[in-house]
Amino acid sequence: MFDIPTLSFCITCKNRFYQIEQTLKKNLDDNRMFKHLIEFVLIDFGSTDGLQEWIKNNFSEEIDAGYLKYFYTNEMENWHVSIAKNTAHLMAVNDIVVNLDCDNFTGCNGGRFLIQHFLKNKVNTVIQQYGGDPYDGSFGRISVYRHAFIEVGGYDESFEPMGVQDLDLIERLKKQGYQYLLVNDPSYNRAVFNTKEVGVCNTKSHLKWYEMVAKNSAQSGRNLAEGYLIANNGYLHLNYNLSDMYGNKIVFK
Amino acid sequence: MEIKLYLSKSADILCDYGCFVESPGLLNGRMGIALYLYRCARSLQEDKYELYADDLLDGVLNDLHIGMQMDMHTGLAGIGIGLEYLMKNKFISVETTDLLDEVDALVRDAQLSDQDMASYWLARGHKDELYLDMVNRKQPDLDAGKVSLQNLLSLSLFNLVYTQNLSLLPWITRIRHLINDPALLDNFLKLSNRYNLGLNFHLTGCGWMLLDYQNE
Repeated sequence: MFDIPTLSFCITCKNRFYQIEQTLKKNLDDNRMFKHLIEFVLIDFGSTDGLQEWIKNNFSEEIDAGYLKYFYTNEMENWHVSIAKNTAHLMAVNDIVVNLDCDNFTGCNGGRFLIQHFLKNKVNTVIQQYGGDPYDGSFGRISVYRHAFIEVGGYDESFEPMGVQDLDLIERLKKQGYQYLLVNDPSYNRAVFNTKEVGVCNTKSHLKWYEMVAKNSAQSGRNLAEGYLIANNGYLHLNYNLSDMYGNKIVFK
Repeated sequence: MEIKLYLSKSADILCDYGCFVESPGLLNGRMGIALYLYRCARSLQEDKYELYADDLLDGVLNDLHIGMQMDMHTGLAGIGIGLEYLMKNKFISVETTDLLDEVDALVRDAQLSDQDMASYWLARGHKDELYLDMVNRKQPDLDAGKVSLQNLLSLSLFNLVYTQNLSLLPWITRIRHLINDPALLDNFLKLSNRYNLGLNFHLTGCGWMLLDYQNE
């Protein structure tokens, strides 16, 4: 009736309770006015720091309403950011998917802010809410229509566990004719301070952060130059079995 | 259908989708929707509508910019009138005199239609400006001068789906006809999209008339 696209914030988390406890409730509260258009999808990759219990004790109302969707798997032994993000995006059901790192704030009515931008622009638009500082945690805030995300194969799972996956996604979309829109409004792209080393720790990789970045940059560059614009051979799928907060297995359709 | 039911259901729709109307203006845009929600909040004693109205008003004021449209439908003149209305009827307590003085200056220089110009000065209570403007244009038009904001809205609101024509009947008679239709709201919803939610269009326009009818 009103042709307003809906939006999913896609969050991934593995042992970062100390960050998500600062952001999740605020983000849910900040978007409640338009919860009829917005969902938050949170994938917990086997956190052992009390995340699941906290969700159960504090957000049962939001989960029952479908405003927050919580999924759990303990099958990802070592953190891989592309696989993690693809999982969250696949479990989203709304028109637009937004990668929201667990240390990021949406801002007041941040979901509505993004929907308005998509309404003003072409459907084949990719929006990045990057604040300009590579260490401010906002580089990964990328929004695109879900069908577009799936068509390009999502984030490249063949990369090393961390680094460059965001830029690579944007570049592949741009090469396919997507309009890139940088929306740097500090009201909507704040993040909790943290360092890359925290994430690297969970990957159990022998590579340091900058080594992963170098390898992934080289691979991304080769792919783009040779016209390989669809990641994962175009086959996005769930790598792990997921269950909900109550332990019920999720059947992915 | 019951007036309160129409008002609450239409207000709920406008809370959910009003902010996505592109125009910030009074008759076609979000300013008018904000006015409607403020009125519904007061009439129905529902704080939620005031919350969404505040949000819409913030958005409208954030959208003000140099070079924007000046007319009553989508532009600054209508927004100025809307602010005046909110202040006079004590929906907002912010002092807007300075802002409205700036709007006056911009409207004075703008090439508005006779009707828009007349309506703006009458609504602002500046009859001297109205007649000065008419003299300067050398187009004395007493009919345009008689158009008040209320009448402007009513004339626009006659352009409803039910009639498709300007009616010669007083608008109050039209409302009595509309109220008796139980499918009124459903029919309007079927015709609604994010381009026609403003005061100038059926869903919100009819609600505005129902609020006036309720207060008669």
